[in-house]
Amino acid sequence: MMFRNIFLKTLRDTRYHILIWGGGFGLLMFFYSQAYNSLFSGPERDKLIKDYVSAVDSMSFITGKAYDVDTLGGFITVEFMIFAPLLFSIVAFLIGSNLIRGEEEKGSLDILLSTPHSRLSVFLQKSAGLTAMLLLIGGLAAVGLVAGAATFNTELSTSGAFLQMLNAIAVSLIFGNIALLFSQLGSRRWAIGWSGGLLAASYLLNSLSEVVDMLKWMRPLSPFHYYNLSKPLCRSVGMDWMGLIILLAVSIPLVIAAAYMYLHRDHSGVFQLFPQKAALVENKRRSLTEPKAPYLAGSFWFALKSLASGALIWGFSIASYTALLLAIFNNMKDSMLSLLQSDFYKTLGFISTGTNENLLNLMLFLFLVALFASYAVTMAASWANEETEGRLELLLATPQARWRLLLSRFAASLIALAFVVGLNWLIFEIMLQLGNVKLVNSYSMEAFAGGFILSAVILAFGFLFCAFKPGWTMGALTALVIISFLIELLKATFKFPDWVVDTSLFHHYGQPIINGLDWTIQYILLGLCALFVATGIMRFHYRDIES
Amino acid sequence: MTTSLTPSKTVTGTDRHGRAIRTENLTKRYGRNRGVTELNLDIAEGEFFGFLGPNGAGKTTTIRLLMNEIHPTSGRANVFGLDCMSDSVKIKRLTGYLPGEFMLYPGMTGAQTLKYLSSLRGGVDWKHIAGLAERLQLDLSKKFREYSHGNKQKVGIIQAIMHKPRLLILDEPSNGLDPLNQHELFNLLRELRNEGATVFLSSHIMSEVESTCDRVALIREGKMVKMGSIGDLADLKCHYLEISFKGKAQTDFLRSLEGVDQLEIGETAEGDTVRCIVSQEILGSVVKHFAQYEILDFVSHEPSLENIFMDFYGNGKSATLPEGR
Repeated sequence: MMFRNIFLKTLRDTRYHILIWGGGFGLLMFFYSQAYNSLFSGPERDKLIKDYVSAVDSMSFITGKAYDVDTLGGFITVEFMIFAPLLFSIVAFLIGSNLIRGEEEKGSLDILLSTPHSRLSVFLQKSAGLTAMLLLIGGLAAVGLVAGAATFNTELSTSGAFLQMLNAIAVSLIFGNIALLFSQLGSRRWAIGWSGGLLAASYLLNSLSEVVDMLKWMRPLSPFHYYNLSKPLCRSVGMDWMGLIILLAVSIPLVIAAAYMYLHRDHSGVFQLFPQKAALVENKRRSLTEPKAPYLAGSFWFALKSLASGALIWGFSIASYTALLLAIFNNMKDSMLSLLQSDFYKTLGFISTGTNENLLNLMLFLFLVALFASYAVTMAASWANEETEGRLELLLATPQARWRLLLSRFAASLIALAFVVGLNWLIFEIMLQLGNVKLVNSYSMEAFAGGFILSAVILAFGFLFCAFKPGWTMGALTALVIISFLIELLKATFKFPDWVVDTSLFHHYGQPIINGLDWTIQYILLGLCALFVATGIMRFHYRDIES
Repeated sequence: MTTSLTPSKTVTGTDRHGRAIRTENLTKRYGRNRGVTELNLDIAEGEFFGFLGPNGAGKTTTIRLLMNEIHPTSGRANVFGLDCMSDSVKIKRLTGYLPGEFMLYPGMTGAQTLKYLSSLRGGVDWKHIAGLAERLQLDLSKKFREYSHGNKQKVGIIQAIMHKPRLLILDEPSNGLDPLNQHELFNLLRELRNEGATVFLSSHIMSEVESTCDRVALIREGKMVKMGSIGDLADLKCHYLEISFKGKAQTDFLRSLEGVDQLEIGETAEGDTVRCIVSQEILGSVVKHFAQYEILDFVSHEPSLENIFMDFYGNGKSATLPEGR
């Protein structure tokens, strides 16, 4: 049945994404219902809720304003739905970039286009498949939420749950279609890089514009602004239908533009935004000139060059967030101080002292390490692509030992990671001076070193995973990092047992900007990193290369 | 621009019996699926060896085992006396390899791709690469994603021979090439062989093997079914006979002979016409028998390798008779 047409086949191709992401979000929603009951069921419920509201209000640049947190719907809206569109969007742009370009790069689109379907029909059916896939993921998450509420006898609007997920999916659909559009202009990797960068920029722009007056005019540029207008799970806010319509409508011109580019470009070619470039290429025909670029001299330099553009995009994007936050730090400091003194945040395990280090830990380093880790995931996935996209066969036909190829790629990835982390540390130090933000302790270098070590472990684990199942690296590593981050973020909310918390790498990062690094743990992590790489090399040496 | 194809002698690897490739009971299984089973190959240095088989027969699996991309379930493989697993890097210094299907960096030009691959090998003269590109009429300034299938194949061919390998392993190399470029490719391969290189060519196209290879191995369902010279294989099978007699001919004895197939007897105004396929072993006795009759016309021709190939792989049935004249 799933092979009946291209639309159904597209859905079938993404069935594991639907099951893993949709099922995962559904389970998370289910357990949120349980966590809500356990957090707010004691005798101090009213005080906890009051503290919680005040805490969330103080953090509005991250969480948005809190409404109806005395209900499960309000709690879910603040605790999860602020991140939901971000997470859905990651899935969306990964699939969107692969939809046409991925099949082209694999060579399977040639065959599909030889069937009696127009290119437009193929494009539209695949695009509809992306939409349906995202709706199913959102639907499964909503089902998990409704089931959780029913299981724990908590009041929740069923229609609100589905509308809330629809709202988040509408945002992700925009980024999925942006990736689809970008993939008409370049390779799949290029589309992933730029879509991811745009997603991060858009989210940070909206977050910062919540607290920085001079950025307020930019809010309508971010889809997250329209997303935040609707809070269907909060009875005192409800739906902003115009916001939802705008979100859904934005996807239409994106799909039209992507379709136009696809129809007007060559198969396996790119859409030329500037046609004169094509003329220049024509003039260079039949050149036999030897390229002299130094990066062609060996696998290490080649790997470094191929990672350079990503390192620059990630490095400067994250650094711009660091710079903006430190520029406004002193303006928002007072409103943040009351937050950490609330009983609610004490319940969640945050340190109550209102030092600059403590605030920076909450507002900056919590996200910086997650972003460094995400960058490590993309680099591990890029190594996996060498094999899954069929390039490794010719590279390994040259007299290169497998261990050397893997190690040079890993070393280049570590250098790229060091550049991203180092650039952010540099910007951090400069902005501390420019923004006149004083730190009592000088742990900033340790805080960034810890971020580097944590990301290096994730990178090494990605290389290890790739040595076993390269095709699964991106999906599995992304899921592992998200789960690991959520375990640390929600450990107090869910009251996870210690052994569960200990599995989170982010837990072992700790709060180094406040306390410095626990170097014993860092050495263990570095040892793990070496062990992962060594095991990865062994496995890669003895494994059959996928064809 | 002229290009010398003399194989590089800078790296040593010697089999004391002068063999380029030797496999002993080489077996590769993919779970319950077959790969190759107990394959024994013995290819002398300087040979042009054809490796024939239909799709899925195990040709690519064998090649990937030789290139250490996959590891054998049992058995072993040597190239120039070096073990394919433990001496893989040394072997790759001596070997050029063109996979049946490959991908390269879509955003890099042909020149950048070849420069990078030549850097990984070391010691490749760019003039030689440029010369090969000129012979194959390949524009090196285009990005890989902009190349046609045939031009991508040319990049693959150049990277396989640019370092003047002692052993060239090619998996269906003429894929996607137009007849002119196919011709040029086989000229290049012959030049390489004449300079002393060994060529191991996997193919399912008979004509290209027939015209270039010294020896051929046939593989089916992962097992070797025949190995020998082109001549051996042609003798293996049969001859097509078409004999026109003046008047009646005694043909009953043909029916009792083993090695006669698809016997057809027709009648014309002048006499009988016999058409049949006869094995090499009994050809002499058949001709002797019919010599006692008055023959108007006698046509015999050897089957092409194509027919032998079809005979081995086609439904287990014998080759079919050509259309009558």
